[in-house]
Amino acid sequence: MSTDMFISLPYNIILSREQVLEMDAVLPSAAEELLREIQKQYLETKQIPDDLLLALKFMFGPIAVHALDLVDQHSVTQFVAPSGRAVYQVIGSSGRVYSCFSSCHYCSCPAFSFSVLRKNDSLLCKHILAVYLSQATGTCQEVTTSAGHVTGLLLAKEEDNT
Amino acid sequence: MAGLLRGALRWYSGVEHAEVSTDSLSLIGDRLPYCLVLGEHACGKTSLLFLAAILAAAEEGKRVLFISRSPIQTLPAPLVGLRARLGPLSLKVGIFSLGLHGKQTLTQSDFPGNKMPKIQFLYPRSSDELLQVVASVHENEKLVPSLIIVDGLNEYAATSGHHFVAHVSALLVDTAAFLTERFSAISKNPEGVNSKCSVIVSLTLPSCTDDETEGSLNVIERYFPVRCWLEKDTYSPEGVVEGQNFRVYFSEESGIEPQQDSASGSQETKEWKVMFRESGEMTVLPLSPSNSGTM
Repeated sequence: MSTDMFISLPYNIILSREQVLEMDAVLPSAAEELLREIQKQYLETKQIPDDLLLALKFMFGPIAVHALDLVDQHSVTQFVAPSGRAVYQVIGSSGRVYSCFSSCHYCSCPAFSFSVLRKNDSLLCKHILAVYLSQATGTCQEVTTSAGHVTGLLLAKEEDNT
Repeated sequence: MAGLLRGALRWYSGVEHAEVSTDSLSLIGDRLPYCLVLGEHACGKTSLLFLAAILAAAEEGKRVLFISRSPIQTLPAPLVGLRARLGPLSLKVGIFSLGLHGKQTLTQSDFPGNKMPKIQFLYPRSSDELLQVVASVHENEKLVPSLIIVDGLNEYAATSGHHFVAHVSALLVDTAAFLTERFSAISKNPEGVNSKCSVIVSLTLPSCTDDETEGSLNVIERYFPVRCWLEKDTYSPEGVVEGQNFRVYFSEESGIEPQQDSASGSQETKEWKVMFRESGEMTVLPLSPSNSGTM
């Protein structure tokens, strides 16, 4: 698929893959718009329409399917301290758990370190995308826990999972 | 954030505060509460951050967390000449006699009347300790800061790789975002100075970069699109004293151009010159658009 290819959706979301690959730590506006549409459709129909699934795959590449699988498996949990400090934990396909942050892109998984940070050819990993999708579809589990536990999850490092 | 650094530069230069547009988007870096300060070794970064911390605490009432690997035992050399001007400010923020304790952490009992100063200095010795400090900021609800400064992140990152740089940068941004949300929820004025938590990080650029250093810089720049550059200035106009000169300017990688507020005729300085004499004394001068281009 050419990186110059454009795709037009019924919901007036016109985007190119190049727009998505801005190397930033937050979502580009086109991706935010897509997630808002997914949320709106899921609220009404309890499923993601095919055209939005297509847009998701176009925008994020192969990780989109893996992220959707993680959401289907209810792999995303948000841990919240009494102060409101929160962090996401995602159970990966191998059974290992990874920590993802709420407000900017960070994941303790090796793919984030390699594909996103080092090779610069992905905006995010499947775990971060799974967090976004679980938020959009309301399928993220929320657990209240201690401040110390949240601190521990925030500190989870890449080598903790090797 | 950029506004705090501009305030420090203005205060240092002694220039009266010119009429500034009230439009918060009119200057580069004012939209976002995070700023990365970049420059080579000994270009004034620590002094600038230290001054920003004092001004933020004394004049804006912010509670500041100042993190550095190297303990600050005394006033940074470039600021010594300003001791008289800093005195009243330092009393306001609880740094008594401008003598900093240089301890690993300070507790309430370290201060007269058990009154915690508005600036807390912490000196984590390793990258793991730094992560622990930042990750646990939320745990003490009575002491949450509204300005977090990390001076010399490169000293922690030197042996820790890209993932550590991303981890600590993301942790700082995420922590500040959480605190901002919390402050906004309890503040009666969501747009007020204490309704958000800001982060300033300084990074010393090595004299020659390799792939690893450049990679780490690319990583941290993902999280800090607003940058304050202290760049060596090779132009020496007549009358400029012997020593080293640096040009200070801001940039933002947002693709959004700062709005030109022509209605109020904003006079805010966009660039500054920092000059060091042989004695170490530092002078800051605002540059007007007519002489800032002569670099």
